[in-house]
Amino acid sequence: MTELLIAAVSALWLGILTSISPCPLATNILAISFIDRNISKPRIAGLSGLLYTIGRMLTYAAIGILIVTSALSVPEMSHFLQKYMNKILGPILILVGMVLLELIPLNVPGRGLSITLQKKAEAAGIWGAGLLGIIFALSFCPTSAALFFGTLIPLSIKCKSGFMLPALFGLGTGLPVLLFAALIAFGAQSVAKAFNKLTQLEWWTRRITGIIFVLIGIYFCLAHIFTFFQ
Amino acid sequence: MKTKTIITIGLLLFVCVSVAYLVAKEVRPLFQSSQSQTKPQAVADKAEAAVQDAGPRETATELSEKVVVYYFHGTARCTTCRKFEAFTDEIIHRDFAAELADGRLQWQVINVDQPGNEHFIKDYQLYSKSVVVTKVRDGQQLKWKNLDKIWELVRDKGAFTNYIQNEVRQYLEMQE
Repeated sequence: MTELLIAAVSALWLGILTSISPCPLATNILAISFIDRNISKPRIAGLSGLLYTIGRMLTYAAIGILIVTSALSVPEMSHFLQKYMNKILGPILILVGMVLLELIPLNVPGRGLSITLQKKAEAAGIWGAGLLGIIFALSFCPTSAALFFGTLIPLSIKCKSGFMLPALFGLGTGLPVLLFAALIAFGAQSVAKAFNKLTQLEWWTRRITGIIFVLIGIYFCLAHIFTFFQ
Repeated sequence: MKTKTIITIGLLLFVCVSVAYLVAKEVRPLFQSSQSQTKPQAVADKAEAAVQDAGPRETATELSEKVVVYYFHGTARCTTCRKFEAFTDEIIHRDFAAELADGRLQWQVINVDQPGNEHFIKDYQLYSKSVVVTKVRDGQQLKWKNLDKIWELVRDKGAFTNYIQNEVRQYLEMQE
């Protein structure tokens, strides 16, 4: 029992270490800016942060279960995800950025969205955060692969815990985003009072987020698909 | 409005070109390998060439017993990964110059994404960028070790150097 508790704390800690290592830190900053654009809607910001973290937890848990319960090769899976996910990520980030910049209309085009449409757009944003969590978790880079496949997976195999330990690892990797979302969810009311111009601020944050997504997407395409910067 | 349309079309074009380039790059080797299946020798030659091209390879006289130190990386590089290679390269050349010159030690940098090098992933259970030390006698690999502590020690060059030095020395002095 104590052994499992130590393993659980280690898994969470490994996740936190991963969340602040260069590559996952970049995706977490992207996620924070994705959530940040809902600064005037604390409930949505909070839910988005929660779903992003749950997306990460479920992804790592799914990989963990696959590896612990089957004879799937750890090196090959790690290599496959590192090789292909970062390549797919570039075009995905550009498309998400374009949606945020309203270059690609996701809903019926035109101003003055009806309440139901607005609700749908909000719901799409929340589920989008969850999807982002899954995609970002799958995009392994050298450091996160070393920590996950090299340290956490052997620990999970040893403890025969394919679900709980990888899920705790996922919680650790999403913790900065979750904390930030909670900060918005609980603190935005006072911020709103202080600024009283949040809708205008949100117009800017949404655009800045979109531009960041597009620029990082272009960088990922150039680096991983066209292999510039070698 | 016009600028918006131009940006939209430009970005969509960039996405399409990227995806098309990615697919073409991934499909081409598959197509080539199915074509060259009839010529196994050619494939073997290509695999050998891939390793040869992969990086610096110091060979003096071929000894019956030697230690080979590998650094495995992929096509996409990162700052930490480059540090692993630079640090290890420096240690090998500075602290093991004699062993390198007389062939007791070999140093190879290999890109596992290059066709023909994929088998190293299975051979050495590579899950990320790795430094691997191996002992070879009469062409047979006796023992190997993935020096996985490089990830913990990369921020402390002194500790990293000690770790690589000790492991390589142990393999050079190993009598089995």
